[in-house]
Amino acid sequence: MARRKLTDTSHPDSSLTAGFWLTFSDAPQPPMRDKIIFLTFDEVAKVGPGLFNVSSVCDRLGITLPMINHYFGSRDELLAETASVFYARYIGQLWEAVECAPRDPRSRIEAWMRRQIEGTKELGGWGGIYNYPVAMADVAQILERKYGDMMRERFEFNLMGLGLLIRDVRAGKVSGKQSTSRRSSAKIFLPMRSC
Amino acid sequence: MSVSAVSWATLGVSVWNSGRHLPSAGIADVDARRDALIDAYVNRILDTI
Repeated sequence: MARRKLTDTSHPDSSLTAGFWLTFSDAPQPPMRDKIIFLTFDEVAKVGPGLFNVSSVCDRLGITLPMINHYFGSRDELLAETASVFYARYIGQLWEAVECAPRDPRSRIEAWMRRQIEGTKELGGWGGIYNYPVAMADVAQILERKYGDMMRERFEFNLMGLGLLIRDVRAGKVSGKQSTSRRSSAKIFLPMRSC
Repeated sequence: MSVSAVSWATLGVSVWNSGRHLPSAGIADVDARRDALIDAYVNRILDTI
């Protein structure tokens, strides 16, 4: 395979347009490392981690397999990092939905619930890794070792926020100023807010 | 307790809806009423808070 120029943003898969990348972040042409993560998310969501073939990501992007190892170390490391990135994104989207909801307690907690239902569906095949880690033990071990603290932090942040939403429903009013710090302490890819 | 109850309840329907739970997949009544069932479930949870 001919060596790609650094300025070359085209890919063998013509569906990988700026519009595709903008569904993941604000960058129409993200760095190649991020593109690998986004495409890995897309493929695992569709076919699950068991059938995921990293060569497909390489073929679609027009890169070689050693590039994956250069950036991530291995297929499992790539899967673990992608799982961590999209967990943080998933939590960020829950709170984005809350912020976009009408400012009444019931609408806000309903937005949180419905975004979780929709977001979990979008995760598709990733559900196997998040909810049944024994099914992908090698990846789950890397996920725990390298990203466990970050994921727990996001999880606890989420539950703390849920507690506030419940308190607001019982009080019949939205309390205080919502601060979700959606991009704090973890790399969270989110497109521009649409509400 | 309320946080875990709402969280688990939402996780349950989320995973069920996402994973296309094999034993209940293909049941025509369930498939036809999927959205209505989820709506009713969400509203029921909200009513119990």
